Amino acid sequence: MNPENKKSVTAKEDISGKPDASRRGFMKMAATAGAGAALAMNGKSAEAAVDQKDAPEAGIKRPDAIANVDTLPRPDIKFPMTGADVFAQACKAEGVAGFFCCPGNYGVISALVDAGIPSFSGRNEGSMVSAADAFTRATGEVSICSGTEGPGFTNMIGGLAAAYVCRSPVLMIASNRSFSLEDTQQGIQLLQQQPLTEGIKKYGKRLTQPTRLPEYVAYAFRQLKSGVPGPVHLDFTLEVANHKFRSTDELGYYANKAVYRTESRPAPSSADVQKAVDLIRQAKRPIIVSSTGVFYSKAWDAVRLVAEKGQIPVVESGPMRGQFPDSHPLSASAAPGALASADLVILVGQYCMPTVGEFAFGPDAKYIRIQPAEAEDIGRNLPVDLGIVACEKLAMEEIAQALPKLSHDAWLSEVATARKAFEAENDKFYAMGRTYTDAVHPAVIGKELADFIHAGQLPQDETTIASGGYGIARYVRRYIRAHRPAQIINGAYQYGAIGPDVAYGVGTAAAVKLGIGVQAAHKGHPVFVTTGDAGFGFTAMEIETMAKYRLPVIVIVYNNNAWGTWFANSQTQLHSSLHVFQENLRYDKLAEALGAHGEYVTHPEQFTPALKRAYQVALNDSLPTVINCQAKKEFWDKKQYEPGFLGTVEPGVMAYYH
Amino acid sequence: MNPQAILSTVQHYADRGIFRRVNNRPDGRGVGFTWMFDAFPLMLVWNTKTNTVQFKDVLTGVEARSQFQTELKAFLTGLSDESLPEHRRLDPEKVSLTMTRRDGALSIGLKLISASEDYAVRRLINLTHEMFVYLRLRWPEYMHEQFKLPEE
Repeated sequence: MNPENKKSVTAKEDISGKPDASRRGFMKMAATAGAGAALAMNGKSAEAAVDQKDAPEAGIKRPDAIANVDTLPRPDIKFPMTGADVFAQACKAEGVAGFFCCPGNYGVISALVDAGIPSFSGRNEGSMVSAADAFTRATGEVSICSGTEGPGFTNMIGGLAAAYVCRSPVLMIASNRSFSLEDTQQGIQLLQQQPLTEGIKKYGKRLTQPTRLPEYVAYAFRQLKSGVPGPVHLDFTLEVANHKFRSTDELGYYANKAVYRTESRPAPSSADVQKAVDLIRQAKRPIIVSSTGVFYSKAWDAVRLVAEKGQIPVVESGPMRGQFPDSHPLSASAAPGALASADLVILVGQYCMPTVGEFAFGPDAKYIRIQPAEAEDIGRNLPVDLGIVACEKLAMEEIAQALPKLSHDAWLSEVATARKAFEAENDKFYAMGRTYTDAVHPAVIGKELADFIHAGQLPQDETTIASGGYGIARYVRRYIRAHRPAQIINGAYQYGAIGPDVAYGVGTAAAVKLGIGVQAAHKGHPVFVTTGDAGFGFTAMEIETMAKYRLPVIVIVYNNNAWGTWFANSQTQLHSSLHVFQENLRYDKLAEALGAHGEYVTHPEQFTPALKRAYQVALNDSLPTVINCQAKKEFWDKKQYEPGFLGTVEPGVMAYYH
Repeated sequence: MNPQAILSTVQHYADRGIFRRVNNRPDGRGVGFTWMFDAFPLMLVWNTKTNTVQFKDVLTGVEARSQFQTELKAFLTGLSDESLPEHRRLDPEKVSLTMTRRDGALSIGLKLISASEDYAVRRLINLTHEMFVYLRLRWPEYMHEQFKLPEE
């Protein structure tokens, strides 16, 4: 990958010291700077004084502040410091690896940038929550997202809900005016935030007592870094963000994470380990479900030990995949036909529990469930034969040690047969899709994308994919594979949100560009996003964010001129009118208008060449591309176009409910 | 045929928490329970004269000679295929598949040839589970229309 061309510019310093954290102060400063610059040029009005270099004919210009952001000097933050700085320094000490925001909460977001945490500013607060969520799902590390009070905060609620059901340890913050204005509706944007995030966060607090800020920051990180993960919501009043802390003494013991929280994890009891081993030995067809907790506890090596020693197949579920490689001989993630045969299911870190019948395991299967906390959840939805409250990594390590070598040749043969049958069906769907030559069928996208990423010139484990969309996802998931942790980000997991996909691409690409967490070995590589035209409409403006930050993302838009719900509501033209868009819309041109590259693919043979061109743009210029694949909504009707709209089997490659 | 053996097998699944709200039919020839879909309880009936156990009207809205019915029949008869492992296969020496449609409602069952009641009921329960897995994958629109599964 060629490094981006850097212009030789002088580093720009902040135009003032610490900014006034109030919104009014910020707006006044910006207006003064702008007016002053205009007058300095030639005394004309600000509008007429626009530099001709910025005229539209000159093309899109990337601001120097963005181009130089990595080289701009960071201030040396020392006491006395504001509450915003105390918070930011604590985040830095905790290893927070990424920050996504829209303007607002000014003192805090400036402090986070000053602290040197990689920061990204986007177009919509909700998108920035989704970006943080994807960043965390792609890395395993805590990220932060921030928005302004009132409408900025309410924009964030949907993204927080998705992060909550994914159990993503994201720290969501927002400004919230002043405590002294409580219940007055003075000015604008006063709103109680915490009640609105009840039920969609692991922990939350409105910060009102300045001297207790360090205590509540410690609360937040204890929640983010222990137990079953989940998002945390803090809202900052001005009194807290602006409070002056004079020395470390005022932080008390909360200045040291080694004493305000523990890294200790619960270990399984020897009795539970023995019961698990006994159940495994009794089973003829045991299977491991490797889920969310395997990722966050970094238990993938331990899972592999148990699987290989016991010759036990492994199937994945969760909001990120690849902790057990799909290429491993014991992988059952692409063997849905075998799942009904399992007589013992070992659920490892399966935080989001299916109800009876939602997983494809038969009614005679027994269950072991392993998770580190929330013992009260074990036995919910599915009966358990053994519940183990323990860190997934520690539990699987102990089981691996206690388990004798086993063999399940007939069972593994059955899984292999099921895998072959699934691949054969995928090949059949692709062959069908290629016969439809006047539009791009989703099987063509799924198969050729997978071939490009896994079976071409790229190492099969190199490329991270944020797999989104609705109908298109049901095809793409069948074909793409994950060979290492978090190679696939399972976009619509559990919440089923249509729309965050491009935003997920921002977060995923930032994670890979920076090489954070499990993405370290793949630092800088281009990233793929798949989405539909309905979803693209929600967060398309983040293409500009991608271009601005030179995030090498290839966004594939499945453009079938409708919401994915069209087919189920197409019986009458009247009803279908609520589910359709104009046809042949050019999302690729929208991308170009936002500083990205665009490709428009209207026939199946054009798709792979477009992928190749987009990949070169990503490598050479670190720019995003939108590949606008023109499909047709009628592809979902199997009476006209087999195989039609697809369903899913869980767990495994197709899963996104649990 | 021993109805008590059938009820005992059903009770086993109830004791495990797989079936809920088990209730015997007043005429003593069937038992109802909730399994996968809260709003759509199942009715397992038996006929001692024909030696069959059956899930009565397990699927509704099935059009005669439809692609849906044709494919479903092919799927279910395929469960007797010799290539299947023993624990998944309907052994034609022990049971044979029955499939009847009336007023758009499909009943699926097994006729006992040499099998015990426990074997037949367990196989019927398992094949019904596999049928719903197949329907979720191949016919999601049907599952949304008839069983109100989420459209998305």
